[in-house]
Amino acid sequence: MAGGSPTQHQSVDVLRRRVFPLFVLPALAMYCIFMVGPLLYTGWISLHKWNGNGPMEWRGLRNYQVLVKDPMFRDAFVNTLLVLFVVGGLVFAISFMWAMLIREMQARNFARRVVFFPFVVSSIVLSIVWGFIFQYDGLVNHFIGSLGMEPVRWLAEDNLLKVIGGGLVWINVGLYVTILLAGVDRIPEYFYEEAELSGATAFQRFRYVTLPLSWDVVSVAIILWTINSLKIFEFILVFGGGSGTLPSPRVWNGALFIYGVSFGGVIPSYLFGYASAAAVVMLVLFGLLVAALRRLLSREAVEY
Amino acid sequence: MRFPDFARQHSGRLLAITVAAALTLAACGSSSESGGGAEPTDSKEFTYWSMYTQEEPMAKILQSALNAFKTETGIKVNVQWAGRDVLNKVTAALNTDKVPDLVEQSDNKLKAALVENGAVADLGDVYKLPVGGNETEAVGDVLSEKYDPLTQVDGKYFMVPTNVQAFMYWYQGNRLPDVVKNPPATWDEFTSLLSDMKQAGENPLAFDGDAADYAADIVTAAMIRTMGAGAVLKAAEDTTGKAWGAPEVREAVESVATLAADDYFIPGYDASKWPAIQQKWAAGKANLIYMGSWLPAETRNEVAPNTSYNSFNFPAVGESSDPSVQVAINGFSVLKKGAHRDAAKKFIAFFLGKSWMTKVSLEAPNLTPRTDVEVLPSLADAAKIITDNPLVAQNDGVAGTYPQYNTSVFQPLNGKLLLGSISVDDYISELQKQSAKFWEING
Repeated sequence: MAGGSPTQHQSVDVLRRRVFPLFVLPALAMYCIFMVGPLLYTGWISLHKWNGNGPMEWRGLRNYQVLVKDPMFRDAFVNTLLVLFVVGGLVFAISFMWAMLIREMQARNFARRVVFFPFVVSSIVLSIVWGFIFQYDGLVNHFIGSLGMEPVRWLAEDNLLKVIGGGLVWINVGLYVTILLAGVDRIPEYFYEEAELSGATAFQRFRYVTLPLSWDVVSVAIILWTINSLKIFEFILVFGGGSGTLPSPRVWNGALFIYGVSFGGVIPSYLFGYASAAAVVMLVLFGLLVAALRRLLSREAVEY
Repeated sequence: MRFPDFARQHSGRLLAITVAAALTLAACGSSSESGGGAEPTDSKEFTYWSMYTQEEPMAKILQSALNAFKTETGIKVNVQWAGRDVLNKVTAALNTDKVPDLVEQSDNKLKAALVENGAVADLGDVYKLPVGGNETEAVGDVLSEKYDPLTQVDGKYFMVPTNVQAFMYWYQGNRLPDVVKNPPATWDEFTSLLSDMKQAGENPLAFDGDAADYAADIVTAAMIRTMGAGAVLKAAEDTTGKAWGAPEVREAVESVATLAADDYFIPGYDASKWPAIQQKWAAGKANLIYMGSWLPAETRNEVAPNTSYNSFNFPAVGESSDPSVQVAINGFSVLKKGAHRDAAKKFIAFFLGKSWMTKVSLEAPNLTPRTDVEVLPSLADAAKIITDNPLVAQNDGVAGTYPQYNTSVFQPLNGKLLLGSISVDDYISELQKQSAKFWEING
């Protein structure tokens, strides 16, 4: 470029400007047709009462007003946040512990694969397995019984959310261990050697070496979890009893709520306007959360 | 860098153009609800979306019938074995011009998905068509009038029934010969039987506590006994919720609450995953189960050889108990938008022929709406019960008419009641409070 004349330079610029739309338009059109269009249409539907076919009935913001008062939505909203923060907190705490352990293991690749395995298997299958393990006559109660203790009602309604939360931790830890290890593996060994020579404890090595030096990876992982936690669906759905039956509304999250008031259940409610309003609320909430997290987590990259 | 500058300058316009295109496309996908024009009389084909999957016995019977129908009439059928979610697909298809002519599901689901928005054709004329198999009888002659209230809305038929799922208490007669001789008819006899079973060290009742619809079926059965058929639906429609404070409601709720309070359910029923408890019933670890008449077909590979399936109607509760049996009836509806409705209606009449209904009864095996077909021994008690008693929609129609109320208020509270996690007083006050709240925000 540097050797070209000003006229040549100008003509390349003009050409670039002309071909720009040709390159961008197809991708932008696809994005708009499959993402932006449906999103805007969802917003439009959310202002109506609509059962999926036939004419829509204008409701303005009424669906949103009902959502705020609906105890079932409030429960689903709280459960979504519980999954995001409590399950997420456990996923990251355990993932960091595994990452630190695996980093020092001899057979680290093998350990990595074992931990990652649950994430590869369909979460529907895992949910069924999880349910059988914690069933009244399941593996866990057999073990407890062999110790001479009374069986625990793990799948009783009061415990179900905790059991589901445990299952979500089990499934997701593998992915986040792998992501965190990608950051941890880049940290030169001499930082750890230096820390050990200085008498740093395992926690201090984590606090002052691992965390700051892998912060970029950690922040991406946190945002990834935030987005993924909104989409958790099938693992909870399979805890419904009977074919097509939804699980108790007490364990619904936002995704289950949207499904439950539209297509879900033995006899679906077909409240597409209402479901769309819930989808918009969840999307806005998580959009804001992701934006806030990006600001909160942005740090000056540590060069090493 | 000039590309980003250029992109910034033009991105708004590009986005606007493409979004407009996207919205136009989306709008093109939806068309207003309309009929399919005047009904033709000589269609040579029609499209049928079934609630069954291809490997199910009902699908095999229907496929044989479709083949025979084509041979007899020359009418070709484009069939899709869509499975139980068929109405979700129909709902989406109704926004386009490619809709099936004939669809199939239960009365509750057809009402919720299609009848509400006027998508189904009146099938009154089908009742005048001759049934298949060289018979001189019309559809209306072979179907009992007791199905009319379940298949009509505002005096118009929205469906024609082909098989019936009836809810009752089931037991294995070979294990309980005394119950075969003397099935409990009243609530006192019933609880006395349960008490005897418990004292004998047996588990009287099975119930998969995580199946919320099963809990609603049991509680509604008791309410129908004390309140009468139709009154449960009326109570659900009371926007103040006060109707649930009636003494008949309390009587029903107190009755079924004893089942949990007196520990008649098998241990672990409240902490298992369906169908674990039903399987225990099949294995003979519990004696009685309240279930639809699909039970013999669903458990036939799990019971001991030579098991005898027997059943009795939900016992009478109170002085003037209503003996109505809850049923979910499966059958055909024809869509108004269908272009070949005439051919679809001819097939419905054809399938109601005795030979096909006999296959439904013996090979599916299902109860049928015809009373003149042979019945398997496993469904003999059930067939007698639906013949001898009035019929009422499952949950008295609450689930089909107000699915969201059912999911958010009725089912969860009924589940709690049978799991023993709520007292009778709290159940009634919560039902009143939550109903009023539901109608306040959804009315």
